[in-house]
Amino acid sequence: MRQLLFLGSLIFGLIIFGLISLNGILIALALPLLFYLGAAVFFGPEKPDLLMTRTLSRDSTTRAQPVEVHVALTNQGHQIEEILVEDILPKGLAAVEGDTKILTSLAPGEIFQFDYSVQGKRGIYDFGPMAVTVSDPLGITYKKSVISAEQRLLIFPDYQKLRPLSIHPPRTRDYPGPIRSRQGGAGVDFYGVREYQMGDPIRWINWKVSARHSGTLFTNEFEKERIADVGIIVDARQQSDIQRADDTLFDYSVYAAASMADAFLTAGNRVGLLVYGRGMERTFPGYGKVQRERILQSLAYARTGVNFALESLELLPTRFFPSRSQIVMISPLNPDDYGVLVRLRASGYDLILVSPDPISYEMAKYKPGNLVDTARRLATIERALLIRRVQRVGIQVVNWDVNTSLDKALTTVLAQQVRTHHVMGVVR
Amino acid sequence: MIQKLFLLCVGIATIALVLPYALTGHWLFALIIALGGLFWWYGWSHKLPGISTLYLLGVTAFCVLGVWINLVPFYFLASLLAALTAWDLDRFDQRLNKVDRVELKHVVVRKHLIRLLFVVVLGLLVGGAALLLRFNLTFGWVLILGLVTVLGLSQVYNLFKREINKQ
Repeated sequence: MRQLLFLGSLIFGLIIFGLISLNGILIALALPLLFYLGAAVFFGPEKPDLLMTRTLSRDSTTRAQPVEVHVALTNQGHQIEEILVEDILPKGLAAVEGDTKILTSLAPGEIFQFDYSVQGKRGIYDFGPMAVTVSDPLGITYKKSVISAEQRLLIFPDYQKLRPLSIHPPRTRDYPGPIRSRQGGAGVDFYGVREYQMGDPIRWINWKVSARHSGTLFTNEFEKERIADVGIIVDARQQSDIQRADDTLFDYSVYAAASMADAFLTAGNRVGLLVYGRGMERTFPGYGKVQRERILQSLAYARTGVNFALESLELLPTRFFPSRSQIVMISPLNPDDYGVLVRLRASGYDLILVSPDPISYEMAKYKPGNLVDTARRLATIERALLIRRVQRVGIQVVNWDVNTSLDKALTTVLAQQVRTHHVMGVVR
Repeated sequence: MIQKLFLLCVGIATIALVLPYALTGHWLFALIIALGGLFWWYGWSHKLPGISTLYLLGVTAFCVLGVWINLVPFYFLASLLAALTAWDLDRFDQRLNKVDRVELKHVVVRKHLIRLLFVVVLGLLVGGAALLLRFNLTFGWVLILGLVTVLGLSQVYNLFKREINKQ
């Protein structure tokens, strides 16, 4: 439009000046410009009649795996001399291969196709309409339009394959699994000795104990191994999050939640998820690959946000998880959350707190210096004290420095837990 | 190809504008125009925005001045057409460069050059004929042309208004 305005002004300027000065040469000089402008306006673009289809090679993917996008544009109208096709990518997605902004010409009935690949971070991406700009043969006048073709791409969060995690919730389910259930029965680990009952296998009879009690037989009992209910709570409150240039601490919480959910589901457990913060987004407990997909989908959506009603963990819907089950809470840990964690523990849940360390994460933003170092030391002491208080009420705390491997951090703490339980077993 | 043509047009526009001033001893104007041509070339090579538009405006202004001081008008017609062509080629080049890819670039470029050549040759013929044609600009003609101009202006104004409302 600016070109049209410029040329129009130039032509009218020449004509008006020619008329005022009664000089026909100036009007004659305006004629070639007028001819040029006339050609542009006369052959000006009409509204294009285009049909567009956009196809994604898959609906869901991971961050590392690009998705191929195929676009086909069919011209159902007249000849288009110049057409600028721009597929506007959703914010957060980037084209890693191929082009998204192409200039071409289209004959009637011609199909123009192009491909490109996109990659992005965890999230849901809605492809909107495609922008099309048609211009006259000389590029003076334009007609912009959009062609709707909505598409959705889901990028799952990254997760790590963890070694089997050792948990010991007070209550297990009735199906066989890898978790020691604190109940005698068929199993591998020795649990205790009881009086022989009809039907007990003869090889389970404890002959040494039986020899000490004449007339009575005793049978070894083994600890039943069962599956458990595991509830994962992800703290998505805005106040718990820290942002850096290209990622957030919450991304690491999501990473930990996805990795642990995968590990628990692989072991056959029933796993549920609650993302607490902006709202309460729940994924009801379930088993297997389908549940893993549901959880990853829920985590792909997960965002931090401000919700004044959910500023503290007081409204945590503990009834969402079966009583005396295993709860894994993933939170950077605020001092105000201590009371709620104690109450959860007191309600009979076995609680593991995986806490991405906000101090080491945030320190990367600052240049080292005396003041920063002092602040770091004070914050570290404060956090260590808080963690110790939490541990004292029987909560396992995994203080995870996000620059190190999650697997290593979990193994270190949960291996200690195994030893503690073994000791408890001997005492009992 | 486009850039070579563009430079050729800039050269023609500048030389055609310098000549009538130089031949009649208006050395200062000739120097200004020559420097303007060099500035255009410099601005274009450094991708200064709007340089072609500025130069087309400058060429038009010197054409008006040349006509005002009764210099030979055919030079101005040639200069104005060459400047218009250069302006068009510069914008076309920018359009090609601001996209990721041009599908069948050679076809798109060829089609554009043919259309431009057609418009410029016709413009040259019409402009040349108008310069050769002599008639007295009486009050009646001025009135008619004035009315056509006003009508044209109102049409352009309405067109802009419609486009702005659409956006």
